[in-house]
Amino acid sequence: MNRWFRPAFQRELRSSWKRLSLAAVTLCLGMAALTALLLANARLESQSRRQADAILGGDAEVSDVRLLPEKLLESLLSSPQVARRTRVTSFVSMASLQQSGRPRLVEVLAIEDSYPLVPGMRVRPAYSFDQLRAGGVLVDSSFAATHSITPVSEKDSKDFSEKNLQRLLAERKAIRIGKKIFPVAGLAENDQMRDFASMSLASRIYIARDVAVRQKLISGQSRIRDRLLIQFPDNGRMENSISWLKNEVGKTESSKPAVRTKEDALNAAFKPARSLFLFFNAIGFSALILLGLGSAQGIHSYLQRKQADARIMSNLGASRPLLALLYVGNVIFITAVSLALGSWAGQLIFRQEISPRMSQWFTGPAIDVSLTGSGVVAYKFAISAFVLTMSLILPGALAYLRQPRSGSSFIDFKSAGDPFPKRVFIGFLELLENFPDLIWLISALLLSFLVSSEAGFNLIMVVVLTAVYLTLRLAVLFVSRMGLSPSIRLPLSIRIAGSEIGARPNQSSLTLLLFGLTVCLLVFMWDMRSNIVNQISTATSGMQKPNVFVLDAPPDAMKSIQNILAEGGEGRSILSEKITRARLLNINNKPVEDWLNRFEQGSESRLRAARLFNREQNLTARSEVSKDYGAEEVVEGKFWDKSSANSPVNEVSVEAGLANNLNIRIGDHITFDIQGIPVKVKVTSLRRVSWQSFRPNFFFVLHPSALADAPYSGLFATNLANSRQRADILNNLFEKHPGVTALDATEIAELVSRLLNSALDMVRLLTVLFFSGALLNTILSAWTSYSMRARNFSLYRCLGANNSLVLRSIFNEFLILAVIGSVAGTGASGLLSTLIQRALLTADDQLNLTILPSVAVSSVVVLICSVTAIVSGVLILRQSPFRLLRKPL
Amino acid sequence: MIEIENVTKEYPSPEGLRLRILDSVTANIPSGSQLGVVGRSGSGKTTLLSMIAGLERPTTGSIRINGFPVSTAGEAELSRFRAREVGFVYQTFQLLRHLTALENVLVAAEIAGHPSAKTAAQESLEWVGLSTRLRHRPDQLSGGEQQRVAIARAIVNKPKLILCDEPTGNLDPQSADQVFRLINSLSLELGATLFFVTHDYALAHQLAGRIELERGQLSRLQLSSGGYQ
Repeated sequence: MNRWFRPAFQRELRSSWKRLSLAAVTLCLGMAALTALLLANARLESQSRRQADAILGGDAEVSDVRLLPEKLLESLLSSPQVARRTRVTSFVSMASLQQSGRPRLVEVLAIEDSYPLVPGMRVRPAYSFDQLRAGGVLVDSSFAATHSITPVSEKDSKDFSEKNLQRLLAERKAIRIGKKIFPVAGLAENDQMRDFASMSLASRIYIARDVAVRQKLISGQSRIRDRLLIQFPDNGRMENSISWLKNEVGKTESSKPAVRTKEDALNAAFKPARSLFLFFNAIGFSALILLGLGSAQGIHSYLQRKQADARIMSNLGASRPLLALLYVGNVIFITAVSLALGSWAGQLIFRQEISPRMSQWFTGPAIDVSLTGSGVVAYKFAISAFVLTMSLILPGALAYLRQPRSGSSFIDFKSAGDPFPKRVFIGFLELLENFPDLIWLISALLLSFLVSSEAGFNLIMVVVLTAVYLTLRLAVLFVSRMGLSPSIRLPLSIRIAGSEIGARPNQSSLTLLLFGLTVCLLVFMWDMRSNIVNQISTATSGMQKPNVFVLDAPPDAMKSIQNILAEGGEGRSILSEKITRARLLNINNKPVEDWLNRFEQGSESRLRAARLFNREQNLTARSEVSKDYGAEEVVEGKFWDKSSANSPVNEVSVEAGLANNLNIRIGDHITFDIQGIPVKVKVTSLRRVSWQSFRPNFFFVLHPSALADAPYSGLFATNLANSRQRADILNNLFEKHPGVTALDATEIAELVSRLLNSALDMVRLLTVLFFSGALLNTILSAWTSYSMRARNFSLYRCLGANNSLVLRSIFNEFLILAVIGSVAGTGASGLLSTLIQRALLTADDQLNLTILPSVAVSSVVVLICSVTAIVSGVLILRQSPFRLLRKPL
Repeated sequence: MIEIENVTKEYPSPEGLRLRILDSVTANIPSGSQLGVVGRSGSGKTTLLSMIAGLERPTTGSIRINGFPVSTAGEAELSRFRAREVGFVYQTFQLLRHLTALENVLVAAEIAGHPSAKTAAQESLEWVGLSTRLRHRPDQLSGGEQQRVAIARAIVNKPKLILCDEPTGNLDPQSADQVFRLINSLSLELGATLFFVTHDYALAHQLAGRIELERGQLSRLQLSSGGYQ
């Protein structure tokens, strides 16, 4: 290697560190965001898959809220399409641990030998699983630990004499379910088996299904869930098997059991985390794009400047390849160091900040992910780092290598007679070469497809960012055309500002893009934050929201239950509803099948409709709109008058989101099958329902007269904030009304609150990352365009422009950029929210957008621009214009 | 009359010393003079021009132009003075690359508050023979044409003082000669005082007067082809 190269490289490195330090810092932050996101995504996917496996336990599940029809079971069990299967019937019951002990709510799972299909449940001692058929039970290890329950010895587990069982009960080695006592054969460690979406957080007890049937535990229950877990043969024809299964289930006439596949379970497991993650994805990638934009522009302009230095060195005899290595190699070195530091920081952020929060989204132990630990992550990371580096350096390297004063590196490849495709291709390459921000945008979006599994989200990002980019480019073109045109009658300072924007179209577009994205993301973040805060407030206002639900109350016990729930609480609000099971028969005399055909196969609307049409559902009847907890409001039509409660009114009020999905309008007629009697009602109102309100909500509310003769059960909801008082009241309730079911939703409210708080924490974290990036980029943008701005304004000063005109012009330049950026950003944020809302979120996850964030964020951007303009103007005015103009470019 | 009295200009050097660029320069130059300013690099030619235009203030001494105290006037007055009374022509043209020829000239007229700026800019470009190139951008013009646009910009406000900083330095001999003659004739037509900084003694000799600077000091001042001051 030449003797001059090494010292020259070191000297260049020192100088380029100074010039590229901001670009390096922004790049580092961008890489940190990407790495953290990549790891979070990998963790989310692996954890969701594990959770889906744990929830379902097989390839598919057929379930119903009553016992599955024998005919269906026979056809499924005799088919060669099914490799393995197991049946689980679950129900919620009361169990007591001592003879006179207070009963506790437990979920009983009546299982077969082969449960579970997937090896997820660990049992201690190992032989205890075999004791189930003999009549023992397994209990949750956490439940056992809380209540000091220990398994019986192997010998005791075979002695079912009443005396022995009573002794075991006294020693907390047996448990009473209903009237029967069962020895605790073993403990099940099954935390990862918990269904995240399950409303029942009761502790689980496992019992052999044939024992449960024999002891008549199942037949006595009103609220059961019967599931058949199926594993198909491993022949790569899973889709065919699922299709066959759905077809078989569809033949069932008496009822319509639901079919759930592993994919459905994955979606269910993913859903709570997914809506949060979508937001983090949006912010993370936007931060990456934002941070990379500044770096790309900085590197591009740096290498362009080095062209002159290279010419001088080349004239002095330095070899051109070595010069390319000197300058481009230098930038590659700095970029590589920045990326390495960024990836390290990203891992740190993930481990310290993101991973602990993600742990709250899932149950079970955390799955460890690292950049090098998993093949897929390492591969994605390597490709990401390569694409990032290349897209940052390539435009600058081409600009450096091309002929002086030539606008293209590909000029030698062009000739007059080139065919059209070649012209287009070279034109595209020239475009990329001259627009580093464009190539960065394309690369970042490609990366988003690589790193994220959210194809729908990526498409939205492509649409929004392309729209923003093109709008801003057009805005710059428009403003630069306006320039100093004498035909436009505007103050000179504004016209000079416009011409300055046009003087640096790339810089101006970049600045606009930065401002636009800044406004877009901050507004979006603000809206999301407000939504999360609202949800937290909904979930955590424990003194107001119901946390105890009593189901299956017989009509003649309604008053008594009401009194029990009211004990010790003056003025306690107790909500009661009459509930009847019903099936939707037709809408406007069209059978439900016809309605289903309106929807695209596999669409979310169809799935929702199918869920509604194919099952029995709960209906209620009310004489007025529920005013409790602000849970619902009429948004269209008129709810029947309270005074009409005793007269026959065949009307129904429908939840607005469902009505929208099913195209149900005011005036339509709906027919329900209520316990075998068709009831035709007219839609007279639509209600917006707050599903997060924790109160019982219904899609359909009938007039009381419609259910006058129908059998019904009662549902109560109230708030029992004090845990001791809650236990006392529930125990009293179970003693007097052992047939009712109660659900304690306190833990769910706390879980939701924890989840949302963790989301809020992450929003704060991303805000810090994003703000620092945006601020750095604004400085970077002002810095890279400073020399040209200083030169132009020095000329204006020589031409007689006074300090005021100079300052006003610079101020107006930044102000125009800030205003255009704010308008574009506000529009983009609205577009982003709307697209995410329509394409990805369900009706339950409404984003409430307000104008305040746009105004506030735009004002902050204008303020930052004003400060930048003033600082920039003062720096320019401090220079001697005549001397500055004499300096070489 | 341009009155330069005992003007000294010092700058701080990187070593913390005071670097004297101009040293006690004194000259009284009648209005309408045509002066070539010559001297070695670093002799203070550009600094002298900069101070005459009011872009820099002397460390000591004073400058008055037609009674206007350039060295002590306020910033706003100086800007007005530069806009209306001074025209600049630079070696590297200093045109705004994103503006057309017309807009480059127009901006000077607009800054000066010319009542019919567009007409003045068009007339100015006609004077320098570029009436057919109004919509061209600098990179679409030759070096000589670019310099003529710069001259049109310098004369658009009919200034009393034209300051040229090596305007022929970047041109071929033929273009340089054309530009020199154009500046000379236009300054005569306008009755403006011309300061023409050049390294080309032959060109300087074609002007009626000459200022020679040596190491910041005025070594020679010839106001007309006849005598010396």
